[in-house]
Amino acid sequence: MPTTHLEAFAAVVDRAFELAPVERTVSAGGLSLRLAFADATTADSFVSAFPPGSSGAADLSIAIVVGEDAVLEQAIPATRDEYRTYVRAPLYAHWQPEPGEALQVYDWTSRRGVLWLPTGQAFETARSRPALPILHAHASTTAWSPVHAAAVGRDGKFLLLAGPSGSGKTTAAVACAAAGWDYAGDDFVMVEPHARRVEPIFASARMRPHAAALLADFLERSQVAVTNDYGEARNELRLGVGHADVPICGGEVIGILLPRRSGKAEFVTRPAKPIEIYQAFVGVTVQQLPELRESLIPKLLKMSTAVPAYVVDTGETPQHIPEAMQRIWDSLA
Amino acid sequence: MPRFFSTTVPEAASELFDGELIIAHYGSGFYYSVSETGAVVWQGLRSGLSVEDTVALLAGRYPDAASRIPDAVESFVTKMSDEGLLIPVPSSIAGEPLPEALPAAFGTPEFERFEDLQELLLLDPVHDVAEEGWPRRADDAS
Repeated sequence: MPTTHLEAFAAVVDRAFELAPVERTVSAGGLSLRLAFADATTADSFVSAFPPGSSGAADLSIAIVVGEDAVLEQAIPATRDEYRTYVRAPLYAHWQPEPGEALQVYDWTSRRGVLWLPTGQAFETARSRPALPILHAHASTTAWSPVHAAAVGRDGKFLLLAGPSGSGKTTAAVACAAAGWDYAGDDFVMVEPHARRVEPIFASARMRPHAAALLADFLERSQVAVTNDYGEARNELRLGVGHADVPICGGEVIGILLPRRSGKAEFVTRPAKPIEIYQAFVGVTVQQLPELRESLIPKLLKMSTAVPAYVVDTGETPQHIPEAMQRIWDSLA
Repeated sequence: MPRFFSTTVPEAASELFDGELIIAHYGSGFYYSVSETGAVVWQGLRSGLSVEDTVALLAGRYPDAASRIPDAVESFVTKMSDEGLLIPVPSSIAGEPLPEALPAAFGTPEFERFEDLQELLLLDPVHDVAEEGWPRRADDAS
């Protein structure tokens, strides 16, 4: 039986890959990911959350395991209702009790990660944004970082949308995707602040019912489920191949927009200060990406000052957003 | 005796943008917006100037404000030190040179501290650092 954290987490990684013989290749944050599952049905339920991958060597491998297992069980903390994080090279491990129990382990040396959902219930954030802490751990040793933001673009030039939950990021990003823009994410994207680059991590989106109803035609092609998020309905969308078929890609970041619903008639209300961008980036990012602050915060701060930024009001009619975004894009591209 | 400070402090990151200096101290959870003149003082110290030489440089550049510059800089440096944003060092540590273009007028060097993200930044999960920590189940550990 393992007696140290290193042995226990190493055993988790080995065991998870033993349980997961079915492999699929996807991309995330510009990386090639080899995902491993117990069976094809489980694979199908997760793979559509990621941008499609291409064949070739994988940058990292992640086993996604759903359901009880006696060996993996040994890694559940004694106080399983508390969030816990362990960071000591070569291992990063995170246990979350809510909204569903999940253990995520990443071995920086072997570049293998594990997402284990012990209850057998894949709660929806695990399906729409699988393995985000693992990608955070991997990115911590690179120039990249996940950040809480949406991103859409054209011709390789992208606008980031940053702000708290409910500010209108998803509405704007999905409205633009429905209007033919390239899509890099509605909630978390991967950024490289020095090179001013963005890459999609996920091909999913989660919309509130009001906004979703206003984009009904697009929903017919992209919706895979309606779920409950702490008492509020969410329309779960998949935008990639086989669903809405929106181009999922990344590129150069040319501007940052802070959506607000302030009732202003004009779209652009004023230039945004870097400190407002930093504030918008950090809140949910640090909630969702435990630890590794020494890597994360300087990148978020650098991104906050990298490109022009504006406070915008996305209004009440999502169909009007792409045209207003296009004007900003034209002025910055 | 000249006094020197390091602007490189643990658990903090800084960025200059259009004359505004932002410092994020993820150890305390606070973040700061430093005024344009405050950013010049900070850049002076970062370049390796002493507090006294920074005062002399600013007094030479802004003769109309020369009488109030020593107290203004002293107060700013004290407050920044109290926040852990400047660390006293025994001798000059040469850093990036002070930019040629300085603000047209001398404004009081000051900063604003933002506390709204502190709870989020400090509310990390329980950390396990012992060799025999989290992985041992309660029934195994007893």
